[in-house]
Amino acid sequence: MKNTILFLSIVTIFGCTEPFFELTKNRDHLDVVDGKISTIEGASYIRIFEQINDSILVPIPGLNVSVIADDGEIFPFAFEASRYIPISSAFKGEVGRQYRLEAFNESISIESSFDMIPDSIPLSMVTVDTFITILVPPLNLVQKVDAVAAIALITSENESQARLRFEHSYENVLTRQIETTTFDQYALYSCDKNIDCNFNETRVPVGTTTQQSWMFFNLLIPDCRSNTGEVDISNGCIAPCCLQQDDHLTEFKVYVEAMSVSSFEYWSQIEKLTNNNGLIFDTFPFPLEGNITCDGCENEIVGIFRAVAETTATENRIL
Amino acid sequence: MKRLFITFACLTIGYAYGQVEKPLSEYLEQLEASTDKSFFYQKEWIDSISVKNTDNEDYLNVIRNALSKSGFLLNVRDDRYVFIYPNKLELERKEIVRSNSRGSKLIENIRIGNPNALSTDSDHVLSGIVTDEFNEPLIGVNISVDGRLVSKSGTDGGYNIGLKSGNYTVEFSYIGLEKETRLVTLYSSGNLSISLFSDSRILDEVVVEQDASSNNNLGPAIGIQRIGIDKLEKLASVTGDIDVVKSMTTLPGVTVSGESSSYLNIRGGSNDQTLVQMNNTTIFNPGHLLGFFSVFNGDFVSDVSILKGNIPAKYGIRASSVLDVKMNKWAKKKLNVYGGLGIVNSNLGLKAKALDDKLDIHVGGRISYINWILDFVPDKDILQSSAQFGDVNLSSRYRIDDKNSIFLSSYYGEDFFRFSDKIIYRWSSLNNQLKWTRVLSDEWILESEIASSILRNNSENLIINDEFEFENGISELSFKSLLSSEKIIAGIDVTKFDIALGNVVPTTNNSLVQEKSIDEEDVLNLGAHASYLIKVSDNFEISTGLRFNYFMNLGNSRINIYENGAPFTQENVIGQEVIDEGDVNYSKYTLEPRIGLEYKVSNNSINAGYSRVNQFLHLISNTVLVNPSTVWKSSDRFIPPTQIDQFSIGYTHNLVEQDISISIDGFYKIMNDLVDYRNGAELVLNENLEQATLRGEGESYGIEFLVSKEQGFLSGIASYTYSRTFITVDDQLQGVQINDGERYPFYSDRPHNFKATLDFKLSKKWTVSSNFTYLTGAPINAPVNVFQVDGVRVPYFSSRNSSRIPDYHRLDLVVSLKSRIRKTKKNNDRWVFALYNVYGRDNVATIFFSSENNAPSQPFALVNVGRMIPTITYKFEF
Repeated sequence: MKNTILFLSIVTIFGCTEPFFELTKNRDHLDVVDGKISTIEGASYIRIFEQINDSILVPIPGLNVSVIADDGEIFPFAFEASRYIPISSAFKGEVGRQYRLEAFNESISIESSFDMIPDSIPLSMVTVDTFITILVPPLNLVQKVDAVAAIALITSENESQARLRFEHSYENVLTRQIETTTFDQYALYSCDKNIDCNFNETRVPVGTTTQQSWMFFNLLIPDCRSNTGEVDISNGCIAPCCLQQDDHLTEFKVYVEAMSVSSFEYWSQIEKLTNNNGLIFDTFPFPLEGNITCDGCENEIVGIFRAVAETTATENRIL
Repeated sequence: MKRLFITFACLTIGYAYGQVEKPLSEYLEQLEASTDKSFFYQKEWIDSISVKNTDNEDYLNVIRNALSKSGFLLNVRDDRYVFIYPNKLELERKEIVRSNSRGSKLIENIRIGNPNALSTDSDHVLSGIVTDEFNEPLIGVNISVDGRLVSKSGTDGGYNIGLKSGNYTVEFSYIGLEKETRLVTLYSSGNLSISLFSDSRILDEVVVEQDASSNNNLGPAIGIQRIGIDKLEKLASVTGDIDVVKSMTTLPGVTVSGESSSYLNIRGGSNDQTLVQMNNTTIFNPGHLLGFFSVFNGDFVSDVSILKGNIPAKYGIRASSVLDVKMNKWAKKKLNVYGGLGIVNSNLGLKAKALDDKLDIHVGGRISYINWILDFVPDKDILQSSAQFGDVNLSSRYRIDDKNSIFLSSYYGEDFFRFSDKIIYRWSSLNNQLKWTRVLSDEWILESEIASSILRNNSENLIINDEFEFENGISELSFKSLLSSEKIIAGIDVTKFDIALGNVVPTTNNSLVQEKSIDEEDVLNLGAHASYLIKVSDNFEISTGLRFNYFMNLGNSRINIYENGAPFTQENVIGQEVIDEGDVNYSKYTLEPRIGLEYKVSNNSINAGYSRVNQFLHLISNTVLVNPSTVWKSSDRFIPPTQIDQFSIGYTHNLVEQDISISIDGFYKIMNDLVDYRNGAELVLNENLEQATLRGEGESYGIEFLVSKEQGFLSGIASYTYSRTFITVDDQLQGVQINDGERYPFYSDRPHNFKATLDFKLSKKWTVSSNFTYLTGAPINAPVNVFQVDGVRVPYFSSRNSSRIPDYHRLDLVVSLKSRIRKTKKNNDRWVFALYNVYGRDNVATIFFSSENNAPSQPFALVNVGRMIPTITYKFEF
């Protein structure tokens, strides 16, 4: 091979890879508290449960649960339908008042710090608009769906934070009945000293003003029509929800929970954790910090007890 | 076994060839071809000599008998290397024998000149050329006579010393190369040329040079380690090519943050704490293809040093360690062409001499083509992915005269990586160096250089409605001047950094991303340093050094003003201060003492050292591994420099007879103002990074064991390191604690680290090497459970870094077939057969978090090399 240039490369076997595998499979049990005191009657509840794994959670009954106001007034709660609700059906929170949670039995004692109900946030209106979006289909499924944007207009000049919940219900085109199942989406709204009022629904907000903020989100309604035009609920369509542009009734309902800065921070943390895809704009994962402590709990405990001023608005549209 | 094999081979040879008389040269060639013996001689010396009666005779007896009346002598080294040389006084002797054994350097008595002209009154000139292992002249080699520095080699490697007749001890020493000593009997003027690395036939056996004493210009500096080029070639990489970064991980205390990473973690240092240099220019991203390859083209690499302990005063900026790579391989003749082809990349280059050998040029490049392999991976995302890189190196040297030379080197590398239909990463590096070396006198050398380094990152997000392009980068422009003698090194350096923290622009009309840009940072660092070597006795040396830094963060920028004493949160911002361009936003003086001690007794040496280094640049990263778009950030009035004090001690013992070296090193680091992050901090495109970062105090300690054997049928290195690195974040100013203010493992904490590299030299052509690595998994934040609230599944992460990725271990096998390296041979070629990851360990390359398919965010391990990969690579040079 003297003075000979020889290029040769042989690949006999190249190991293809399994690119990903789940790192952790064995879960530690976790005690979780999700409590809300609302300014709307019937909307207050305390959920206390043990999370066994990703899908199994066990409510913890038998606790003496009460909410205590800053002036010492005590509001007892009773266990019903997997959660604790006020014994008094007329109970509702009051703006400017602070509340805290106590829950205990012989072995454990769960407490929260005080949380104050802020002023409610005026929700001027809810509007709906439609867009056409092309999605990359999952292999053999449909190619196009319509996207719907619900826009909540908020006019507020005050420093405020809120968690918005959008409920979406629609008419079943086969039965002509309104489906009771709702499709929830959440967004966080923050107006900080009139400087940076925005929704955190997207990482980089679409539009912000100091006087008027608006929210944009996608409701992806899959087009379940087959090539023949008939309804096909197979291939991953979760309901016969196909768009019939002329007779499709859709209801959008927006709940706005105005809350304290500390409660808002809790939901902000949740948003960061749930939206994390490991990309460059995502945060490094971190332990969630709420306002709940437990004395005697065998598991780690996490959660929030929040006191909110709640408002709602509804928009019905024929799509 | 080996001796049996050799004896059997010799007997066989003797039987086959012993019946007839034949030229000695032919007999020696046959022996070389059939055994591991090497013979050194000049062919014309033995042309007329024949051998006979070789049947059943020991080969040495055969040769001795043949030479008995010829006037030539025989000398055998290590039972392998046989030297034939004339038994008479040589007027000029060029064959210098170098010892193969560490710590037992052979000092040969050399007679120079004509004894008949002996005159004690006459002045004579001892002259010669000092070269490296590639037969290239070495500039600035210290030449001492009887312990006194008398000269330095010039730009052509030449030297002239005026001496009277007599006996002298002549010593040649150079930074990073092994010291050579000769006993010289000088009769009259004559020549003594020398290679500090002996020729490549013996260089095969030069492995790791742990002993810092060989770096005499640096003085005692424990923790300095070098790896010879041939050793690098034995260490497997995916392609069979030299991989400088991965090879460094065979040394104790050195790890990378993941399989597909080129960021070194040395003695617990984080990814940004190692200064990586290519010909004195900074490499900000040392990896290609997300770290599977290093940016160092092995065909250019001439020397690799890693400084993990007592860092010399001329180095600053990075707090933990230095990886210094020289890319100065030159042509051995007028023109050398080389190249190679592997399974994922090819390379081609040429080396040439011109202008009466005053000009050396070396240019070469590499290009990858990995996409065809990705097509075999049955994964939708991988099928839509692609990756490639290319790079070009240029090195040139022009020797103006015997006192002046100019060196120019450039590097440009570019990477492209597309992952599925989600994101595209592009990054490029451009490095340039222009250096002027001037020999001022027999004692002093002045080196002045201008160097620049530019890193540009580009990320393009392809996710629907979230399409954007993100750009960031960093550039460095520096001027350095270094004045050096045997005992003193002093210099100044001026370094300017331009840091582009990033800007993002939407790339489609439907993108929901808003355009955003962060002010660039201008940084200036003025450095001055001096080192002095104190030789207390022949056995005891002390190196002292002091480095001064004046660091300035300059405008143009806007700085938040916070309420006095209040935490850095948006609520506490009471205004903004505008810093005009060129005005100083933040400045800091630092003084960094460095000291090293070394005490040698016989085959033992004890080292100790202390160094303080400040780091003004920080790598801002939200992932366990560094992704290509990771952002650099300079210190400012809110983020102080990280300061590291390191204490080191080491002991080395050489078992000369067994050719085994054993060393134990210990270290302890105190790390002040380490950067860590608030929970939920957003790091990229955050113009208020002080609100996202926290100050932590860290400590790192460890003990490193190293056993190496450099010669013989079996050679290799085995090392074990136990080390821990912790950080405590209890930021009083911010009022924030991480993990309740308790210490927790730092991201680079890898307690157990075992490595073994064994080389079996089957013959002069065939070598089998095996590399095994075991490493404790890196600490990460992993979710301990997932809970539901309002229908939302939320991952719950426990305390920071409380989990670890699975332990890393891997075995590689490499078989190398070399053509024989002879002076008479016109071309060299080499085959490398490698099995990477022999038992197919699913080692974790990187950790990322995903909430795809509506599942809660969870960590997933990316296993890039989950199976054994066989490779065949052919390399040539002529």
